[in-house]
Amino acid sequence: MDIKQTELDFLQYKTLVASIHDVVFKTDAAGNWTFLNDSWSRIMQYGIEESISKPFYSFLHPDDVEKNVMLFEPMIAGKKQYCSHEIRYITKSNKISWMKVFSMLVKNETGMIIGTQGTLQDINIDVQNREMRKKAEIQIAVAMEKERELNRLKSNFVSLASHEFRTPLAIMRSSIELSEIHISKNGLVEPYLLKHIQTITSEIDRLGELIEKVLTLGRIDSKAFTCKKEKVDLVSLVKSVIHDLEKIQKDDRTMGFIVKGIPRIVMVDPLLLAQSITNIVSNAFKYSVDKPLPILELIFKEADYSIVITDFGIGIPPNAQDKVSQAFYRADNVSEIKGTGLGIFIANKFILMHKGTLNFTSIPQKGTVFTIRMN
Amino acid sequence: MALILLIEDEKVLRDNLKELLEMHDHYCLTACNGLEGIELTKQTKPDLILCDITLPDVDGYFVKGELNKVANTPPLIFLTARTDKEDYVKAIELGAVDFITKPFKIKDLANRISWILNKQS
Repeated sequence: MDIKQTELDFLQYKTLVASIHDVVFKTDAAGNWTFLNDSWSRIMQYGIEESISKPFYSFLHPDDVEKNVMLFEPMIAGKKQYCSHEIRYITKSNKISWMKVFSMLVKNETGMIIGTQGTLQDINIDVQNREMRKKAEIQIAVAMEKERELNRLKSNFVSLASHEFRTPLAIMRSSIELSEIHISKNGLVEPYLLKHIQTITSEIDRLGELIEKVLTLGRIDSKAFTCKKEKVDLVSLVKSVIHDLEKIQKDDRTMGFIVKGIPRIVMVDPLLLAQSITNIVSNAFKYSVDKPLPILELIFKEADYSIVITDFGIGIPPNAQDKVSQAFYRADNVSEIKGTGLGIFIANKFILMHKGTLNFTSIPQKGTVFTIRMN
Repeated sequence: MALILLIEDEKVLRDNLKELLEMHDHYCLTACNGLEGIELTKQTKPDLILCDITLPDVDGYFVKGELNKVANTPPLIFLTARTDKEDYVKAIELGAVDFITKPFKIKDLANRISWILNKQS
């Protein structure tokens, strides 16, 4: 190879090193810079000339010097061939610059260690992103903990409220029932008094029902309900719900019950599903007084099953149909009928917890059909 | 006619239930906290216990747990304002014969008591 070719190669090599985005460096065995490419000046704002012969650690963040020396010394002692780490340098304008260092040993022809060489990669953007991500993660964790704490508080409140509301209701109910028994026993049947006792009893029940539903709402809100599925005989569960509701109908109305397809055991949370069906069937009775009896159909298909509750009552006005599933919403045509506006909302939530669906169709003065569909 | 122990911290409810039980010709002993209830059970051996769960000293579960250690422990019905499924499961696992949530109809309670006592005898 002639001398001209060697010079040309060297020039190309120099141009190549100068154009590399990372800092390319060499140090002697004492850690003094012996070579730095132009990227050093670009990142650190120090001139090459003023940096050469100075120890690399004089450019480090004071807090990182010890760490870096501890990484450098074992290499120079020949215990390690290379090292790679992230470290803070301080620029000429006194700003922190994060660098990823890759450094390896340099030996002479006799195998003696004469220094190190490697690269310094500018990782300021990576570190900034990492710190921002970390900050965001901390903020999310704090927000989640706050939400958990809020749910715990809500849950505690619901438990406390549950006890604090139910106990006085139990006292009122027992007192009024005892009064009723005494009046009947003593033959002091004063119609006026009896009427008022019945009103108080009925209002206590209404208040109890409202409290029950509001507390259920609170539990849903604080995620206190979990859907614990188990094997359930759906026909028995539905029959039992219908039976319980038929018992409390003052006009002795009953409900038609039809099973289509082959009944099977299903995986549901029996309490949550029974509550959902109770709420819908209870509405079916409530909103169809003096109309044909409501009907419940249990339809078993191969892939899914449906519980269809049909009443022939007052129906839901078209302008109210998209609001029926909202908490506390009551349509204009039910203002004379007692209710809380929570039944369908709760039923819908419990069915969603089963990954099922609740839909309805309704025609005013013709009736309403609610369909629970489950897989 | 049976001896029934009522463990309930709410005085008015305690008095009302005592009146109801006596109206049905039962003897009724009352305790206003859990430890007193345990002691009275050991001393008097009632035929049935009606026990609240939230009590000022120990809870109803503790009472039932302690009474389970006594031979021939009487049947116990929890009367409670708690309505969580977990509470119901815990009560039944401890061996309670019933779990009645407040507010209840005292006529229903009286019927339930009669049914349990008849079953016992």
